[in-house]
Amino acid sequence: MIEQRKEEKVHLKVPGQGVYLNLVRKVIVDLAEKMGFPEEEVGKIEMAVDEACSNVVQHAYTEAKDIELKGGFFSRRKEDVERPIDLRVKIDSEKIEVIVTDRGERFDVKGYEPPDLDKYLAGMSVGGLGVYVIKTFMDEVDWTHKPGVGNILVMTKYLKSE
Amino acid sequence: MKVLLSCSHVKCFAFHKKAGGKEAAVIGCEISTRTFDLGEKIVQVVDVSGFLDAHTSPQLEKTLSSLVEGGNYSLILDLKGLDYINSASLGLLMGIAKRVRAKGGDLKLVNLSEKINKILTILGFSKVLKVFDQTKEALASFK
Repeated sequence: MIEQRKEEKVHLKVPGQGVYLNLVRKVIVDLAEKMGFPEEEVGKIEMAVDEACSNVVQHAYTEAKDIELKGGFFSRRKEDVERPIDLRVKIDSEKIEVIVTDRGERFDVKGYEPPDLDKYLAGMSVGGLGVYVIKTFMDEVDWTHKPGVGNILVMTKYLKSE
Repeated sequence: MKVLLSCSHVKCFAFHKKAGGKEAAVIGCEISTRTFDLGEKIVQVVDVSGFLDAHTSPQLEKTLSSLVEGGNYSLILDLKGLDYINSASLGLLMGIAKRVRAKGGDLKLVNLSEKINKILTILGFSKVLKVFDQTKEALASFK
């Protein structure tokens, strides 16, 4: 177990590619375990962070961009744009805070309606549970959007929240 | 009587790295398919180990979709050795279950670790997807 009196920070920046998700999960699981979170809570933190980073990967390499063609014409195409997974983790004796920055389109958190899980399951719907997982599995979740930076997701889990 | 007819195997590499100047790979997930003849029904058992995330899930989707498109509607997913599953992969299983049930079949899950089982329970997927402890129990349920 990590004995902390003051806040410690970990910054992980990896290419926004799916192959790196396993590495991100390993880092988060390792930190959460060392902090003393119970196994079930470690699994929830792992899944919430993975869902957040998967969202970054999903939007990481394509972006609509005006491409100049010969003769001064422009064409709107999807271009590969390198966007990393930028994960900042803050840990102290009480909590783990994970900040994921996503330079994708603005996420409208006010417009987000959590799915009615019973209806979702009854209809055997597919997908769309990422945000639900993040909000359900973490104690505090906050999305903000900063122009020029993107979506900033702050997820917090407290050690004695049970 | 259960008769094993055939099996196939695919590996999904999650990461390539150079170790000592040589290419090495870490396997993300391994997917094998076994075919059982139950007499009246043919059941496909898909063994999945490793982890299912945004990178490896498409390989499972490919395997399951190919089975369904080939007319296989009695499916068992053996998750022994699966360490992690994301919500999109759970959604994939829901989608496949929906497709095969519409054809009179089903998708059943076996050998779930405590961790995977808890995730399914918390998110409610265990209310919809049928879960068994062992493959032989799931096979018997298709008779």
